[in-house]
Amino acid sequence: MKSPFPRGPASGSAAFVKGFSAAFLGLLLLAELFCRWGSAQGIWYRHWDFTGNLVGAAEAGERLDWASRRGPWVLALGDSVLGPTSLLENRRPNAKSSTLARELDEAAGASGQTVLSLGADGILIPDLEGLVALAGRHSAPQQVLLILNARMFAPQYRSGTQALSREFLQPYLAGDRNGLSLPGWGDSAERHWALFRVAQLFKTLWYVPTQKAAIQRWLESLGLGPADEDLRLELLKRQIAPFYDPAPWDELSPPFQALDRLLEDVRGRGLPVLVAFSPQNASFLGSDLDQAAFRRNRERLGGFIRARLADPKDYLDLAEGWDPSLFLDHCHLTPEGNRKLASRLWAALPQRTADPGGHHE
Amino acid sequence: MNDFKRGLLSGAALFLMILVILLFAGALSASKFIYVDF
Repeated sequence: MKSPFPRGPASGSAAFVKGFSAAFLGLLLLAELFCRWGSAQGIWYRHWDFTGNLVGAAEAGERLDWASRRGPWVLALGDSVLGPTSLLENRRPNAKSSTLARELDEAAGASGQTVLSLGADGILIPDLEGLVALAGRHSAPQQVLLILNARMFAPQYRSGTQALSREFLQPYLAGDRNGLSLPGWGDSAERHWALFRVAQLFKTLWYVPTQKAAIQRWLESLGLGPADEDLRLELLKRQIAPFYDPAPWDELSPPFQALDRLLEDVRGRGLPVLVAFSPQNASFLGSDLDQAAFRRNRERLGGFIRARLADPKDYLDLAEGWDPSLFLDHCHLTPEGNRKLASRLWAALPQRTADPGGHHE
Repeated sequence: MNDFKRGLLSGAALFLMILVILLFAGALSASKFIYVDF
């Protein structure tokens, strides 16, 4: 078979270069135009749920713009509690359609509103601060729902490179950025190259974290799944135990300071906000959890937040009072748990219209 | 096949290769903790 490539520099013709350039640059241009058009029309967001994933500031901005064009909307921010990861990891069927974000959106639909979730796995409070600042550069939502979790206050995530989960949000942070690295080439590509952005977004649909996980999923699809559920849960317990460190939470610590700036930012925009501490499954951690210390820390957090809200009732500590059967692990809920939590949160949302003067109805 | 057509095929092949790399290669660049500390 003849090679499609020229046989050497001597035989390389201008015609080959012209053909190559026309095909490569033409396809690149067409793909770029298609991706920009598709993002502006929200085509991907209508057909796939990307809750739990954030690929960059520009893509998040496109989601914000799309949400604002659909009518009155609520911006939901939080960590993996909003998304499908834990449901997927626990092999729950229809995981993507039974997330907290999806349940919230369905609850909102009854009153003609929508919920855009920019919740993402592993997110921390400085990330939330960055997302609120990013949202401020786009169309304002009618309300903001902020869901906090114990991990966000864990000692290991308070400083240095561990203090921010998504480095592309650095430019949106007002606080001290010492110890954080500069955005890389991926951030620049994500900002300027729509094809890259959309490819990154779609990659989240089939991304598997490790080769081992990929093999495990393949074995499970053949009915050969390893029966090591107890081991998996024990490893998870070891991993999350430090999130519930009994040491007192410090109001001068970076997470609290980021929360202070975030709430000031929201208040400055006159946006109604509901802040909720997510449900926790104390029985999962057992003796690893110092319940009294955890409660004291949450009370300290509650006082800190209420002092910064227009209405103290707009902070809910939902950590306690949930049946253990509604949990998949320490904090992620089953589909039924997500339905119950969505219903509770939606009923508590301020339901007021954003007012540039900062006054609520 | 003339040189222009060879060029077209090569350009299209390179584009498809880049597309496959973008869609399937590497980790998610923006996510430090994804699936790890959820």
